[in-house]
Amino acid sequence: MRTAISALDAFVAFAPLAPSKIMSKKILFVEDEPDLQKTLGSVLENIGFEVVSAFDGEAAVTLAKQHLPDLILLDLILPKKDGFQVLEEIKKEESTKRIPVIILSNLESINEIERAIELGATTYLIKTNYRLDEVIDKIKNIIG
Amino acid sequence: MLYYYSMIENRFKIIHECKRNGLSLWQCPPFLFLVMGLVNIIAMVGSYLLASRYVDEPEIAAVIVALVSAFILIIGYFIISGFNKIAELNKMKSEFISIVSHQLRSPLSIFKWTVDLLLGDIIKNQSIAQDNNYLKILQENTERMIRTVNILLETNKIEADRFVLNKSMISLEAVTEESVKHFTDYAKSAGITIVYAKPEGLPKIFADQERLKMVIENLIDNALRYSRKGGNIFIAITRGFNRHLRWEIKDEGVGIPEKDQKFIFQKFFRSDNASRYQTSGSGLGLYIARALVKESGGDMQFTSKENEGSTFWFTLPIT
Repeated sequence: MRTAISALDAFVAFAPLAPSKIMSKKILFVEDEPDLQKTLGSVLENIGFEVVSAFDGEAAVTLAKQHLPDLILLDLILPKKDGFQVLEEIKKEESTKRIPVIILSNLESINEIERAIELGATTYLIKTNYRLDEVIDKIKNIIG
Repeated sequence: MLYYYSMIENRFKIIHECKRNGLSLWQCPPFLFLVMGLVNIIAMVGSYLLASRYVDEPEIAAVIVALVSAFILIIGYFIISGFNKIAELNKMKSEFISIVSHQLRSPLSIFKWTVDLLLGDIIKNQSIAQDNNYLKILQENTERMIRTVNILLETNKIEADRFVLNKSMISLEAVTEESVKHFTDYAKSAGITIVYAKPEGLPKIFADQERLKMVIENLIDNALRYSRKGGNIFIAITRGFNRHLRWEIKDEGVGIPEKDQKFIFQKFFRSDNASRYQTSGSGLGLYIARALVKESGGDMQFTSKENEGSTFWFTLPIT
């Protein structure tokens, strides 16, 4: 009987794998362009992620500590604190250092890309080079 | 003494900067200047020693050598500071290109993703995709790209001196009223109040209406960007001295740090404070605005205090 219950538990937990897994994931989306927050943010919500929005670097660090998201999407040119500073602080802090960070920026010089990766970013995407569905696929690959 | 110390320290900083930018020591102007000075001193001492051995009046020879050396040193200094200026300008230009490409890419990425969203099958719930707000996003970003491109073209015209003003008799207070209206919604959403009481009885001026609107909108836009929520912006037009109208805008925003104030009308310049509060901006707005006002026979100035706010004003002649 006990085994049966465990099996059932396992079934309940794993059967609707994709949607429930996504449903439980939280993304911190750091972007100062309200229009981009609206397009990518609403798409992510629509496919089932919980999205927390930050419009500047200071808010990003505070919200990361407060919400402990499963993934951070981080722009680099941000008011108050730039993306590199945010990344550095997130990677220093014990509670947030293991959260994967995807850089979503329009800066494309090799210096910036190298610096972001050195600071611990998981991947670096140049916004204009990726379609919306490709960005979502990348996100799903990391936490889906 | 302290002055010399800081000068030498400064030179070493520039040498460090050269290394960072991939210039070798022998391509670095401040280092070359030091080498030149050293060679000059050695040449001077050498000439003096030779002169004192073989010439009857070594003092006169020494004075001539010293004068020639000083002359060479001064010329060298001018050449090298010229190179420094060119290098500085080059650096600013490449920074400008990176700012502009970023400025153009931001609305482009918004286009791209909004169109993906409207045309693709990413979203299951089509009511979201049909939301006409997305079309509004496309419209606003089209405007934004047009503004950026216009600013670039205007800069190019100023540079090439191909600047033709389309002048007519216009009312400065009416143009201002129209521009204020343009920003009302934005100011409201940002929690900022624009106070403008349209003055009565001012004479008309002979100016380029479109360009003037560009200047005024640039100044209002700046005041709004660097104001805090709950702040006020005051706009006033008065009759100034010498048959001029004086247009003034005062904000209670973040202000411009003193160290940055002398560069504020310089092309491509963006204050650290500006970048801290506003990520968009090409560093061309005020440069163009002042050039336009000057071309119209007026002038533009400002006063500012960090954390208290800025006042910008320009004057235009009454004809």
